[in-house]
Amino acid sequence: MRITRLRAVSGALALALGAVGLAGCGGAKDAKSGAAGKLVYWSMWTEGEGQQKAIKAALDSFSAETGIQVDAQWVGREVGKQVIPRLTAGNPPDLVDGGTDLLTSYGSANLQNLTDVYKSEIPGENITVGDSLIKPMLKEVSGTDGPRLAPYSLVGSSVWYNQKVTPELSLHPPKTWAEFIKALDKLKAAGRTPVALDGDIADYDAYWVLWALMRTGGPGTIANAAKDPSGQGFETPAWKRGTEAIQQLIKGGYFPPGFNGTKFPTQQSAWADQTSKTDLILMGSWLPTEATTSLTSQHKDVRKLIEFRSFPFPAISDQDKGTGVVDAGPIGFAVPQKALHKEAADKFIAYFLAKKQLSRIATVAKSMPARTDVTPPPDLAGYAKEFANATAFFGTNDGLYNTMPKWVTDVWQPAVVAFFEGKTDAAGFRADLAKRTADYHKNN
Amino acid sequence: MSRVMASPAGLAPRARVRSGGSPAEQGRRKIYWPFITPALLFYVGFFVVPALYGVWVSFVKWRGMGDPQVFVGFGNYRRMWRDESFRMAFTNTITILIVCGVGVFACSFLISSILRELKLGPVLRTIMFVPHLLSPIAVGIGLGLLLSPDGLLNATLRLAGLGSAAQLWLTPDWIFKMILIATIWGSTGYYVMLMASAIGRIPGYYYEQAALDGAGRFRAFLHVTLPLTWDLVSVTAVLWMISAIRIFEFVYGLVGTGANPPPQARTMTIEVFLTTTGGAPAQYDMGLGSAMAVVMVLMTLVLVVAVRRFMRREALEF
Repeated sequence: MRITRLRAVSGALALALGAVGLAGCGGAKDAKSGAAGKLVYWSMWTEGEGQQKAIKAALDSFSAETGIQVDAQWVGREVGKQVIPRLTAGNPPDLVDGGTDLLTSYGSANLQNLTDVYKSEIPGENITVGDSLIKPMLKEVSGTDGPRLAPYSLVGSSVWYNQKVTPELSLHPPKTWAEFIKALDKLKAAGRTPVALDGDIADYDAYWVLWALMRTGGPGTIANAAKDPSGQGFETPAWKRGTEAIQQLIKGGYFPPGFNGTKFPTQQSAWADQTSKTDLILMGSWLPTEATTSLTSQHKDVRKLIEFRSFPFPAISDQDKGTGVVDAGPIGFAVPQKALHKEAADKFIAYFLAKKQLSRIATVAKSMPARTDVTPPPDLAGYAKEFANATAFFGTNDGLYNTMPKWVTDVWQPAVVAFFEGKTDAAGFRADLAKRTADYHKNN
Repeated sequence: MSRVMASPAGLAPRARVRSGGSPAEQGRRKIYWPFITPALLFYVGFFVVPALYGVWVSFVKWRGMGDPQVFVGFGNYRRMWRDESFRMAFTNTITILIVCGVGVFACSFLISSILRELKLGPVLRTIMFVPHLLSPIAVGIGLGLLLSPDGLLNATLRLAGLGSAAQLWLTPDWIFKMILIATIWGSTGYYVMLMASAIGRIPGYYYEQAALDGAGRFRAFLHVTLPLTWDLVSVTAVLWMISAIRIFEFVYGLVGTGANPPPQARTMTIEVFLTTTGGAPAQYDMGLGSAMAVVMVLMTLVLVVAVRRFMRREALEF
C-alpha cells in the first residue's frame, strides 16, 4: 500500500514536470502564432525612467488609434542578454532599441534594413522619417546597404560649466585651445582646480584625448591608427598636436588632487554641489539629469545651486580637420529580421518620430530628441546648437567601442589611464599605444 | 584466474536477487528511476550539457548570437596565452590563491587559538563572521569608500601624524595590494568559524599535557592543534582554493564602478566576464572566454587533487 502511494506520488511528480515542460513549449508556440495586429517591444528602459514614460505614452495612443495590441517589456540596459538568445532561437521581439552597438551585439544581418521605414511618411506631417533627420545622423546610422537603426534620441559630450559659478564663460566661451588654457590658468590663479574628472572611469579620461584628436584629425583618427597593425599610425601630425594639447592639460595641475583615486561619481557630484573647487567638466549630455537626480536626493535646491551650460570643445589649432564635428551617439529602434510583426513595428517607428510624440523625449525624459526641429530641454540648449550645426558625428571612442572592443579594453583604456596618472608624456603615450596595438594585432 | 572462473556462478544469485527479493525491495526498485529521472534530466540538461558545450565553444570563433561558429582548434588557447591581460589576470589569481591563502589560514589559526581562551570568544567569532554574511559587492563598495583619498584610512593616518603614508589606494598602482589585504580581511571570519569549531573540540587535557611537557604555544599548535584539526584543514584548503580561483564580486565591488577594472586588478573570472558579455564595451568573444573558463576549471581540478593528495594523513581519533 505504501509502495503504491509512492508510485502514485512519483507518477504525479513526473506528470507535473511534464506539464511544466509543455507549458514552456506552449508559451513559445503562442508567441509565434500571435495575431497580425500585435507588437512585441522589449525595451532598454526600465519602468519609471523618463524615456519609458515617453515611449509608453506613445505606445498607448498608438494602440488606441490603430487597434494594434502592444506587449511592452521594460527590461533595462541588459535587454541584449535576453534578446540575443531569442535572435538565435528565431523568435525575437518585434521591436528593440539601443545605440549603434546593436549592429554589432545583435549583428546587422539579424536586423531589418529600414530603408522602407525611412521612406515612409510620418503621420500628420508632410515629411518622411528620413527627411526628419539631419544628414550627419543619416550617415551615422546607415551601413553600406541601408540603415538598421531609426534614432529617436541621442547622447553626446560637451564641456559643461555652471552659469551661476562661472558666468564669464557664457560671455566669452573659449574657442581655441590657447583661450581654453588661458581661462583655466585664470581660474587656477583664483585658487580653483578648474577641471572636474572622475579619473577612475577610463572612458572619462579618454573623452579629453578623443575630443582633442577629433578636432585635430576628424572622425577616424583613432580608428585608423588602431587598425594599423604596424602601430605606426599614432605618429601623424594630428596625433602629435592632439596628445600634446592633452599633455598640457595633465601637466598643468588643473584637475583636483586625487581625481584618479576616487570612485565615480565623487568628482562629478562635487562639481555639481560645489564642494570641490571645480568649474568645468567634459561629460555626456546626461549630466544635467544625472546631477539633478543626485542633488535632489540630497534635498538640495537644484535651480538655486546650478544652471547647466555647455560650450563646444575648443579648436586645437588652425590646422584642425575636425572643426564642427560633434559627439553624437544615436539611440533608436531596430526591428529584428525574424520579427513576426514587422509591419506593426515599422508603423510604430514612423508614429513615434512625429513631433508630437518625440517632444516627450525632451519634456518628459529631459533628453535630446533626434530631430533638430523638436525643442530640446533648456539644459541641453548649448549641446543642441552644436548638434544642429554638426558637420559630422563621431561615436564613443571613435566607433571602436563596437568594432574593436578588446582593443578599447586592453590597449586604449590602460594607456589613457597611465597618461592621465602622469606616468608618461605625450610621446610616451603614443609609443605605448603603438607597442600595445602592434601586440594586439599579432594576437587577434 | 579463479575470479574469472567464479564469475558465472557469482552472477547467478545476483540475477535471482534482481528478479526476486522482498515485495518492499521490489517496490523500491520500481520507483528508483521515476524518482531519479527528473533530477538526472535537470543535472544533465542544465549542468553537464552546458559545461560540455562550453568546452566546444572554446574551440570555435563565435560571437554567440546566431553567427556561424568557425572551428579554430586550439587557436583560442594560443591567443589566450599570448594575451598580456589574461597572463596578468592569471598571475593575479595565483597571487590571491597563495598570498591570501597563507594570510587567511595564518590569521584563522591565530585568532581561533586566541578565541579558544577567551570568555567572549563565541561572540567575537560571530562578529568576525559578519563580513561573510554581507553581499561581497556591498563590502567591496564600502571598502572602496574607506580607501578613497579622504576616506577613513587616510584620515586615520593623518590623525596619527603619518600623513606622508597616505596614498591614493584605489589607483592602479595600489589597487591590487588593497585587494589582497581586503580579501584576507573579508575571508578570515569564515575560516575562523570553521577552525574554531574544530579547535574547540580538542580536549583541554592535550594542551595541559603539552604545557606540563614544557611546550610553548607554538609547539602546542604544531603538535596538538594542527594534527588534531588536520582533516578540517585539508577540507578548508580545498574550499579556499575553489573560492580564490572563482573570486569575482568582491573584487568587482572594490574596483568597479561601471568601468572596467584596470588590468592590474583583474582576476581570471573578471577577464572572462570582460571577454564575453561584461564590461564596457563587452567583447562578445565567446570562444576566447570559454577557453579561459576551461583553463580555470582544469586549474581548479589539478590543484584540488594535488592538495588532497599532499594533505592526506591517517585520521586521528580522540
